[in-house]
Amino acid sequence: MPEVRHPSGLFTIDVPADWETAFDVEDVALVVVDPVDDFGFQPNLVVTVEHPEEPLDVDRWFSAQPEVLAAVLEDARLLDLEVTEVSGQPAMRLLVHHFVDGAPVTVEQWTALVGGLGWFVSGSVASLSYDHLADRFRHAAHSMRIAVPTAGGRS
Amino acid sequence: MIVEYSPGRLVLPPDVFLALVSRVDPRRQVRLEDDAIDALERAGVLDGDAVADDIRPLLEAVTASVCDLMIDIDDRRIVGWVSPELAVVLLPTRERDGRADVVAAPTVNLPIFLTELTDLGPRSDDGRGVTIELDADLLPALLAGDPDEVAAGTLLGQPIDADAAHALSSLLRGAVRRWRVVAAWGDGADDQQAVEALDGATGAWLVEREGDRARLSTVTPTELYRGFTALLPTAEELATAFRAAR
Repeated sequence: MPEVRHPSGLFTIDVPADWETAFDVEDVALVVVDPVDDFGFQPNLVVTVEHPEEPLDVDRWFSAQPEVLAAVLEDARLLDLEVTEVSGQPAMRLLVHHFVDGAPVTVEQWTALVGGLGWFVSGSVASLSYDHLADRFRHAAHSMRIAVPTAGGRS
Repeated sequence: MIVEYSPGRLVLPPDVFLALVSRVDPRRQVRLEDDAIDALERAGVLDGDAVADDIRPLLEAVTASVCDLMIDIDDRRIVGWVSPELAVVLLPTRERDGRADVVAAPTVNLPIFLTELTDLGPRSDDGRGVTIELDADLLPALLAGDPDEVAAGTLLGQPIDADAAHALSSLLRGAVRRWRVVAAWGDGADDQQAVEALDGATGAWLVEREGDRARLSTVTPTELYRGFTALLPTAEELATAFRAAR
């Protein structure tokens, strides 16, 4: 999977070859979309960055995520969650089934607090095709490298 | 014989359902017995030769099946059929009266259907990367084993390593659900794929059978869910079957 670098230099990540890539679409830092429709849904991988209103510790950040997803996704069902690593930092991985305009979708999301920011890598796919893309989502998440901001500027 | 039928609900003996399928597929020469015809007519499923409008798609889904499902959850056996558009399963009634609820769902919803059926969800991580191999016919004895004996490092009289002892004894201290989902694409053993698990609050174990042996490995719920999606038809397979049916 080829590596892409965000124009800001803040992160790099490997993305599926032949998928369409766009940076900074509305509030989303990176959107990578499979041009081929699958069960009425285009598989996609997105990277988003959140600015927490107040400094958060990792435990609070992690424990809040299942509820956050449940609040924003239609008929969300949490299938799995585990603590792992992204960019060398503690991260939480969640697997959630939900619906998008009535179509069943599986989203796998990794989130980490790095440099005071909340980072998310989310892969979404029509649920019947999850097995087909699971390895690429996992590869993407584990390939992500975040340049941690330092007191002297961006590192 | 009691057949219950109301919009969205059909309860009847499985063999009667299969015989009913022959009403939309004459190639299936399964004859409905007279008492079954009487019960189906009384319930409103049959009106002479005509099948109720909302039941017909369920029967047609069986005849257009791309793959068949066989799901064992503890001592319950659930059978089903997967057509390009609709999946139909026969769920044994809670009363265990020999009848089944006929449940239908869009085929694309099968992953979440199987998830709910097996109650798959987050589990505590009480030992990952542990594998045990044993004779498959010893599985019931394993499940009936003494957790304290296992924790002390002995499984069915054989020594096991400390990680396996910890993970397995944790599983055995709680309720263990045993399930197996089989998708059959043909009649041969090679045409079947299965996902089998032992599932408890302290973690899930994947059971892989090869010959007389069984390999048990601790897995995440993600791996089991992925297994569901691996054994079900892909979009391409369903589209091909859909075109063929047309």
